[in-house]
Amino acid sequence: MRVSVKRNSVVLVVGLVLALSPGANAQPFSEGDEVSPRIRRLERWLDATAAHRPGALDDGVRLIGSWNQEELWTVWADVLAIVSLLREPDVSIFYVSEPARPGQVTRQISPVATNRSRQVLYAVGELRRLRAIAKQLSAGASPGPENGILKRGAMLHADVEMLVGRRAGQGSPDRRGPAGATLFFDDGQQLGLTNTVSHWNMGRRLLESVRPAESKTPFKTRPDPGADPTVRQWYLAGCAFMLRTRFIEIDQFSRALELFPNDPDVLFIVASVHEYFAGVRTQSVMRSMKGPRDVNFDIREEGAELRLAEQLYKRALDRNSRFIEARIRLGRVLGLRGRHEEAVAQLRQGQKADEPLLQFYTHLFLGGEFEALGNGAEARQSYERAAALVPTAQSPLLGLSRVADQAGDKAAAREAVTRLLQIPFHDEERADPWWSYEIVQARGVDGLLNDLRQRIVALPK
Amino acid sequence: MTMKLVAVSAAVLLGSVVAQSAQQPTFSAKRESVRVDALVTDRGKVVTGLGAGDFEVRDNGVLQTVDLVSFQQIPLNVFLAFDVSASVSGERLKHLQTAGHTVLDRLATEDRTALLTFSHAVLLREGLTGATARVREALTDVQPLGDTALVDGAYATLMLDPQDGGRNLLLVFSDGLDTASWLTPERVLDSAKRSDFVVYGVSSRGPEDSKFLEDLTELTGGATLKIESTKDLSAAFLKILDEFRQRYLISYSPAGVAPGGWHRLEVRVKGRRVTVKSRAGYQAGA
Repeated sequence: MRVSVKRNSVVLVVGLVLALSPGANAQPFSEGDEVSPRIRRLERWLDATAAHRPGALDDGVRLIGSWNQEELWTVWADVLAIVSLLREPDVSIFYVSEPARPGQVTRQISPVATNRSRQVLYAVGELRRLRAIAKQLSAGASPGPENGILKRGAMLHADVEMLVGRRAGQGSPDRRGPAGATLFFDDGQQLGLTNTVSHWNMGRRLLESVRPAESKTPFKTRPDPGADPTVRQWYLAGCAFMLRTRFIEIDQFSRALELFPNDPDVLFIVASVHEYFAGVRTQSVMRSMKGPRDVNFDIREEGAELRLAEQLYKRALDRNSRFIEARIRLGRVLGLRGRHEEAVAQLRQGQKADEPLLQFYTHLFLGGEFEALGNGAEARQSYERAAALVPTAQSPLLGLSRVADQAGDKAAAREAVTRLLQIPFHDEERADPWWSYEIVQARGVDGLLNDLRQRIVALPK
Repeated sequence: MTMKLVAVSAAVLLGSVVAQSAQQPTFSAKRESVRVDALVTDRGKVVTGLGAGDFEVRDNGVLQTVDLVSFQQIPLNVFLAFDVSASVSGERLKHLQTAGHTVLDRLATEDRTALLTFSHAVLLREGLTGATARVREALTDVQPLGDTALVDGAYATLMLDPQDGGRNLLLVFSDGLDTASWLTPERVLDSAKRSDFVVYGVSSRGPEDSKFLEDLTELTGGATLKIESTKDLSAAFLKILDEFRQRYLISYSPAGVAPGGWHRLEVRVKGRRVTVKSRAGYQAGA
């Protein structure tokens, strides 16, 4: 037997995967011609997910990272078939339903056209093989083995993204499958727009079928990923990773919000991506983007993104009023929206932050807001506090200079700039938290990933 | 070379200038004067040989008496503010360094220069000096890195204090979108009203991306040159330096106008249909 989640078969699984590496000429997974390439691919996927150590660049990650959009789509459909068989062993008709994409417009032509479900067909031999695999997976395992398969699979696909990276050329414009248009840009300039395979997308597809034991939905076969804490952790860690690397899949954030609409951590990180999208880096490239008309990244203009960010930060604070970082960011967003008095009110509460980094942002933003309100004395005081917290930061010194210049005190304005120009020259010796503000909310990504990995490792086999 | 002149406007300098001799001007700080840096052209060609009596200056609509006009007589303080973010790497950096060296080669012995670079960090590579070799060396040592803080870099340069009566040219190059500045363009433009720099910009980006630079150069009486490629940088820098040298420095003591606030300026040449480029106004009382 090639596929198993039993502990004693893991070594075999790893060995089989290794046998697929270049130079191998045996076909150890095959039981002869009766196993179709499609089912063989599913078995390899199951082997790889079972053998995968979260966070490790192993052979399974490399193998599955090399698969194209069509191969991944087929594996996804076949995994769902296995999940169906594990939940309802007698089922014989299988459907998959393409996940809706935010912003995607479905033109209603007929009732059939609006139904995105499609039947997945198998040859008799394939179906027999699928049933055997499902039987093997369920034998002696804890209840609900399919959830473990789905979560481990999502972890593996996340690791493909995080450890191998995304390659152009594996995707196609075909809307079917885990792929999409990826816009590469730097310094506000578009570098390329290409279809790429998304393993994050694959992970999301798999997790859509998770139904945790604690689910309260009435039908026991109905998926309920929003009730699963590991799914939540997968989304949070993925969102944080995307922000930290600035390689952002909007669907990850949109779906996280749909699944966990009352979770303050999710609300916060989704708010922060809208704040990010309101920034010049994204707005500039969106305005000048060149590409097919049907490519829509669902990024709104600056004002709309800020409005969304404000709403989501407020929702996060409604659910956790002591979420200081959300309050600081809300203050900044309000300031950007021209509501300086409200911004000051929020930022003043940010002064309670324990973390020096958050204190720095609080004082820096307060400086800017007081400046906007024409309160030079308070602005100066706030900037001085920020400068005292991080003496190598240039942003508060620029603020101090500007406040002095506005007041007509050219000597003080120049003195602040002189302080700035005396900051150590080499980049490693200087730091300004302002430079990393856009992504600093993802600074806990390593902790989030470690927690996720531990959860995956702890899943019953 | 493909180059487009985008902003054509004006330059005003607020300073303390008093004429002691029309032939060999010297400057002191005895009383407040307004210095207006103006380029006069006739169908694209620079008009030379004009004197104080040829100019008509209106300050907030009030005709002023021009005390002094100088032309190519006052040493230059050339402040170079260069974008050295990650996008300025490889050939682009070489082009920038070559163009900077070209400017240094063209400076007169009494001229001075300074080099400030900005990526996300604003760095003064060399303060105002007559020793161009030091500036040349500093420019050669530059390593591109990080994001672009054009607004912060421009502001920091405007705050450098030349401490003399020379003519201050700020030459800014940027090829990137500003993604890292703390200061907003509006606030820096406000400060620019109080500075005595004429700012010229060279940009290799689209109109949206260089809007701040265009606004800044227009406000201070300079211009923004757009280039298709950094190969054109040397020619652009030289065009700017040559143009700046051919500007008139007009001085007058404001009369009949309120002492503070924003002063709108109009500079004309009497009896001639020529184009005068000077700054739109100045902020008094600062």
